[in-house]
Amino acid sequence: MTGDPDIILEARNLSLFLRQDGAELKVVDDVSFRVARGEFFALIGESGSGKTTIAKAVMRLLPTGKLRIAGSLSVTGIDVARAPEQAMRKLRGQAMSMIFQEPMTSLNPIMTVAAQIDEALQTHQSLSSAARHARIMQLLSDVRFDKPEQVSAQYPHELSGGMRQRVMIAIALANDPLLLIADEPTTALDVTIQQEVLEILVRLQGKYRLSVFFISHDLALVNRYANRIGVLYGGVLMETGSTADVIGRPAHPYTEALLACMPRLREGTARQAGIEGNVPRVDDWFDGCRFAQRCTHVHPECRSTRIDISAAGPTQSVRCLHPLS
Amino acid sequence: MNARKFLQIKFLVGTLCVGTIVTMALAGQFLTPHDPEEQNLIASLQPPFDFAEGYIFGTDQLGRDIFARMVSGARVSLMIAGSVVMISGVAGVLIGTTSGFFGGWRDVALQKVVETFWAFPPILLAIAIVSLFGQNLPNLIIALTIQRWIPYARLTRAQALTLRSRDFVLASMIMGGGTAWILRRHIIPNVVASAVVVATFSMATAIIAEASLSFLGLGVPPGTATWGAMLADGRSYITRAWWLAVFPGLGIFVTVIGLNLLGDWLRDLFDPKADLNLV
Amino acid sequence: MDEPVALRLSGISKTFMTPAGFLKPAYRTPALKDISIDVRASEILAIVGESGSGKTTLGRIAVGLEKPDSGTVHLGERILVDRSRGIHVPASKRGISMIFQDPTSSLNPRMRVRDIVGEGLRLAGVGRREISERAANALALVGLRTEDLERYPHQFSGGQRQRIGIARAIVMEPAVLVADEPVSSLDVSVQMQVLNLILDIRDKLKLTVLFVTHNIAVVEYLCDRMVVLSRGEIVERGSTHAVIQAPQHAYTQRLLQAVPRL
Repeated sequence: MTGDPDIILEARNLSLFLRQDGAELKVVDDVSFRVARGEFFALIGESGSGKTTIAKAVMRLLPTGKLRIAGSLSVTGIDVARAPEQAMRKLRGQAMSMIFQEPMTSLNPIMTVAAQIDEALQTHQSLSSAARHARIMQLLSDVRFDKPEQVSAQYPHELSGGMRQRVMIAIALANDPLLLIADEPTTALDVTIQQEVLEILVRLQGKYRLSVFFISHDLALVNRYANRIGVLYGGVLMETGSTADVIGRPAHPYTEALLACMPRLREGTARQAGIEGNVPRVDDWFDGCRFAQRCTHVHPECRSTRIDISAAGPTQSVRCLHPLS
Repeated sequence: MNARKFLQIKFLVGTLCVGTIVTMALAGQFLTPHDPEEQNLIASLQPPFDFAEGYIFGTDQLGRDIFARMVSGARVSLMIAGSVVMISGVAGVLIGTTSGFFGGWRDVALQKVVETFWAFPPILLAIAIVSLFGQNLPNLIIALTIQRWIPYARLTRAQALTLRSRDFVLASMIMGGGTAWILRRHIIPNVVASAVVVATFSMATAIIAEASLSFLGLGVPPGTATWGAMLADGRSYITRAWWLAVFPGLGIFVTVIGLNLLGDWLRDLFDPKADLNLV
Repeated sequence: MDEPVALRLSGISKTFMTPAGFLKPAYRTPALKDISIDVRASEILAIVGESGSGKTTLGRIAVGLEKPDSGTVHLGERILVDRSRGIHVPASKRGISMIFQDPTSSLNPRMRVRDIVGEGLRLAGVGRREISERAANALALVGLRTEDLERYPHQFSGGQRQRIGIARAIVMEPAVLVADEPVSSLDVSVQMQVLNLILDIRDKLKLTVLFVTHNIAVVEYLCDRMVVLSRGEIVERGSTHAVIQAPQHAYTQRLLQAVPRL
């Protein structure tokens, strides 16, 4: 294990390739970012951005036959691409855990809440039955259940969507992970429940110095809760920086365009501009900038040159030949 | 759908096998000067590969050319299996889609019917029918079809249940689509693909079923050349004239393997590309 | 402000009955309780609510996919629904079309765009040539090309498929369009395109739009007035500006403050 102990998750020149029908498809190209201890890092992307593949790659949820990892992706210094399966099993559920978008399909319908948390505890720790029970109650109250005893005896189908999501967080936190990967955990929830869930995550972040790696498509949502943001488009990381900087002074034209097309109160007949065109397809890797075809600030060289990352402020880095100032 | 799909081993070998058999059935008679029923006791039990006399696969105990009988047998087997699959497929898809689409008491009633038919062991049922009602072609087809429609019904019912709440079905209802319209234009076209996959596997088992019944003497009327009957005949001669049984056996083997490979290939083709959802 | 009322819903109530199962008694779920709404001609009215509010059921009752237990629906002077008098005009005769949330499941993957867009016309007995013409016009209105008539849904992106769905809805020349979360499954960068398209066709075709959604930001942009539903009841209504800037009901206030903003 090498590197800064305070960096929990680090990607360096990470490229991901999916194998399908005997062909290899590049999904993510040369992505680099870091998530520090206790930091809430949001990775924003639309469909085709590669964000879910990155989330699954961190936990190595896809078999090596299906996903090829180039570059480095390390969790607490251990390289996920090269670690043996033994080492991965130790990491999963212990150093890092994950929550997903659809809590109903991630929870076992025939096990009670307590049984599922218990299973997570027993996999990685050897505690007495009393200690486990205490821990289960602690976790359930951490995720804001007023009556942990009652909830612990219930089955997933007896709970609402928001409650199931909170149970999933409790299971994910059972073994005190350093890193929680959240893959669009609130997309399927009502906005009031969404707020509850995110506030729980932020509180846990503070209380346990938990790092949160949050995948989403909603810039407005992460604006409230994230410390730092990465903007992914068409498999390429366009911009990273602190939330205030990325949202307040975006360096990349895509970030700016994305912010501009989020619907706001309309005054009279004024229209907001969308972004013309469509996101590039996963099997279409052309030269130059992935956003060039839709960019309003595009220059001729943007379509042909390979673009490297440059600094764009004290916390920001951007992949653009003509970043906004 | 790219051209690479057609280069897969499953497709190539499957098509080769099935193609060979079908070609043999259609045009095989041009490869032999002999008639399948032509008896020639002098030339009985001739070994195979005798190209001078035109006995490619040798002759049986009555001097009949095995190859010619195989060609004729192929026709009979394929025709029977083909009709069985068509009838059972069409019936099964219609029953399954209506059952799944309507739901309610109609579905429950039809499912009870399905379970009743399914309760009988297939070969026993076939034997019972042929023994009770006589050994002729229509009865044989009934015996083979009577349960064969059920896998189609089960599969299409499950799909119809999902499809009926799809938005495009709702859209059609809003625009005035009646039940017949929706079944015809929206439900059935979307279940046909998996029904075809079932059909290829079903064809293979139909050939084996018919061969089994003929082997037992309960298939087509005695005397007609089918591979199953030829296998039965060849049983007693296996030590001194292996070609009587081996060639029909090989014929069944190649056909069934070919159909299974094609069915497998088709199933892979129609599999939704779930992988791309990872992005 | 003085626009005539295009669609009037009065006293609409609906309860869903779940029949008794094995060891479980039957139970009723009230979805809508005595809902009355006037939709003015050419306005875009939002029906806002979270899950379980009854908003989707209301949209379906308006279009004719569901029957209310009681209440009436009027389109202008015509009575569409009046359970007390046994009146329930079938969906295809109402002049109300619908667009759906999921661009993938709202189009039959085995049908060409021409047949998808023209299905309603075909069911109404319109001739082949006229169907082609009207379908091509509808596609042009939504920003697609005539060649696209021959293609299949999988050849289009999500945003384009939503446009096809809109073309299918407007080719019938409806007076009212019910939109059930039409942009919720689209990428953000594409949502605005479709929202602007809805504004365009509202202006060009003088359509009245009933927009069912849980997305407040979209309502702020698109809708003239809004009705807030909670558990089957209307808790607040008014012009979008007024409700957003000064929500009166506690539920509306809670809803609005939970919406993340930039």
